[in-house]
Amino acid sequence: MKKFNKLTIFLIPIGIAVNVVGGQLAVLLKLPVFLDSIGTFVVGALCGGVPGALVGLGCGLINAISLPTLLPYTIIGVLFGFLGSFLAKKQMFSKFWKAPVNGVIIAIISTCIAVPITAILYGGFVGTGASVIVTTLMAAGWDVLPATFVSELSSELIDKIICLIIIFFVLKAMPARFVVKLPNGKHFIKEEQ
Amino acid sequence: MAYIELNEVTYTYPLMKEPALQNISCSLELGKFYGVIGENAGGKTTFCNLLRGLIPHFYNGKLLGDMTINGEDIRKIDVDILSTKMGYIFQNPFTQISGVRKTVFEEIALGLENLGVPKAQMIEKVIEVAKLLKIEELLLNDPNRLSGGQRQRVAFASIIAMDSDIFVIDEPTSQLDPEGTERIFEIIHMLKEQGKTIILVEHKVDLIAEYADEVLVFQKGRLLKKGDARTVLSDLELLEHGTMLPQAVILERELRLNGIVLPKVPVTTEECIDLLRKGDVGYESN
Amino acid sequence: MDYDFTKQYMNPKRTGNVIRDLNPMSKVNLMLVLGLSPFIVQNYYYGFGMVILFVLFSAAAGCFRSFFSLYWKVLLLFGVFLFVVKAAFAPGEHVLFRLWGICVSTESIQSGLNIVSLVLAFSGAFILFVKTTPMDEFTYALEKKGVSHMVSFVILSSFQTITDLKQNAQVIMESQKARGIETEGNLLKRAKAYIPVMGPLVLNAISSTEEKSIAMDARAFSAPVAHTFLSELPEVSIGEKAVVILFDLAFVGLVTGRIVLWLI
Repeated sequence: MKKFNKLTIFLIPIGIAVNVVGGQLAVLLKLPVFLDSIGTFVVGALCGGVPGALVGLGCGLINAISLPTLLPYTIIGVLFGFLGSFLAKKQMFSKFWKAPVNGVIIAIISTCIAVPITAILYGGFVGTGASVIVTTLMAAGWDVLPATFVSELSSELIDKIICLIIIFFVLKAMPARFVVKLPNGKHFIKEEQ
Repeated sequence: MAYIELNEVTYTYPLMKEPALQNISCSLELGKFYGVIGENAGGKTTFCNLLRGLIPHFYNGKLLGDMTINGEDIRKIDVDILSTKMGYIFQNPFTQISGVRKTVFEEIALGLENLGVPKAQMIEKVIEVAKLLKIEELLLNDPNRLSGGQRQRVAFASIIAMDSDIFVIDEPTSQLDPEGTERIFEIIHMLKEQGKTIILVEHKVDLIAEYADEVLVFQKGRLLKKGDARTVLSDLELLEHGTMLPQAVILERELRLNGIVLPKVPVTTEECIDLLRKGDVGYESN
Repeated sequence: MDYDFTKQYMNPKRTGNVIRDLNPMSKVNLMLVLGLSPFIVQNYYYGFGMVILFVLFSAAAGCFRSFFSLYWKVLLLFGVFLFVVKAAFAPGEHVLFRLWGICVSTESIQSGLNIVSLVLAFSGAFILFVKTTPMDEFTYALEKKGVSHMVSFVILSSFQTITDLKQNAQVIMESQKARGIETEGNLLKRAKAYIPVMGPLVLNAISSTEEKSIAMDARAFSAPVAHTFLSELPEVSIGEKAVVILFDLAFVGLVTGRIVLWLI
């Protein structure tokens, strides 16, 4: 971690805390979405893939303290960090209309990883509201994989589209003089002098 | 002997068109107390960043001119080593607490751990500083649950414990109440008594008048005046540039305009009271 | 002022409890070996045996209450519901009970018990580790193993930042309420309350890092010197090392046994 930009080191804990507190606030307001990956994408986008992945890793481990069965899903958070950086480099945070597009892409990717974990490890049972959809579908004769896929994809789509819209505004509101100091700053600042 | 020397230094922050500091030339000596005053956004904090080596090592941007600290070129200096020689304290009490230690005692020790100070010596030093700053009763408290004023004192203690020779202090009291401010100034005064070099940015000119040896006035990125505290602070011209002057100086001017003349311009309140008590006052008819 | 409390720093930290006083690295090692062993053994009697063992360990370490305050959720969610789902839907020949899409068989009950024992055993090991290892002791042990102190900072700071941000969120929520933004009511209203709370929270937190990094620099955070430690942990005893190695060997034995069985 030695050669990290200094600000990056201090942004990692912030990213982790934003994830955790963002998720808790969504629970507190009884919103039907998780909103617990804002920090991962923001840090990934601003500081690069590895710092973003570390936020995902840290957040996954902390979530696992209260529910250890979440541990295997940490891999998705790690991937989100790299995705955040990748999307920033591809200028995918530059326009509002790109936010839902990002959301859809991310939701599909994360579903593709989450489904095998949920289906194989936990037999389609995740311990959240989505489990109700899965069990209903399975009771209607669906196989475990498609049932898990449908339920996960629907909840991921809503969550990630909203998440990425929030992230778009957060990144847009960041002062340029701060962003310029970060490793990925050059992908956000328009005119170079 | 000059310890820090600036020669025609001009600095522009990244993405900015106007320079934040322009053609600054001055030298600072060891053992003196420098007060830095001037209007907001006049370049005071940028000046501090420069002294701490944060410019150009943390903030990129464009740096012109020459600057040396103890003979070393600022561009080549190792800031990580510089940080061990120069204490830095600023206004926000909340960001100066590490957040990784559970008691104030451990918080103050953190800097010493980073410096590799042996344990017995570390404990001794923390106790010494806590006594000095009168925060002994806080030592077992959680530093993350203190009030702003208490946090600022802990931040001072943490930096003072590291035993630097030079302290750059940027508006330490702007978020504190009068009582908190007074305590902080007691601490700064104590540092001065110990022969430390102090560079203090502060809005409260009356306190600067009381303690500083020299004063630097910044305006619009330029060093407007630098010199002996008494001379600079009694310069009425500064008022035209929007710089506040000590109450005593303002009072003297009002008295003079009303035909009451003091033998000299007092810069501190005590001095003013003293002059008036002695009755050494002349009267002029208008 | 009494400075007796500083004496505690002169000696390595000990609680007097055998389990708690294990070195954090030994605890990580044992957690992994014990928590993963049911996956190798593949027998739910063993898995549930481990679950009981972890509960007993938590009691012996004097942290049964805090251990169980987390563990009961896993027991309920995964011990009961996961079992029910598995038992209802896993395929099997010896059908015991059939209703609509649900089909309970001896095999599905078997597979339910298997998976539940694995999940519960690993979760138990993980929670037991977390509850018996203070984070600052864990980061100390990491640093002693040569991990950068910046990793320690990131770990410890994450926990404190969560507390701080939670508090800030509450403050912002209160002030939003005072300004008439509703945080209760229908879904749309509640969703609308999210942004004005999270927005400033995230932006403030992110922009505070600049000052934080300067402040920590002033505390010689990146000074190129070997650090000393105010609080230290005892050196790992030979007995402790031997126990850990014994468990590791047993685990390696299990894994080889499993592979050999596969190959035959």
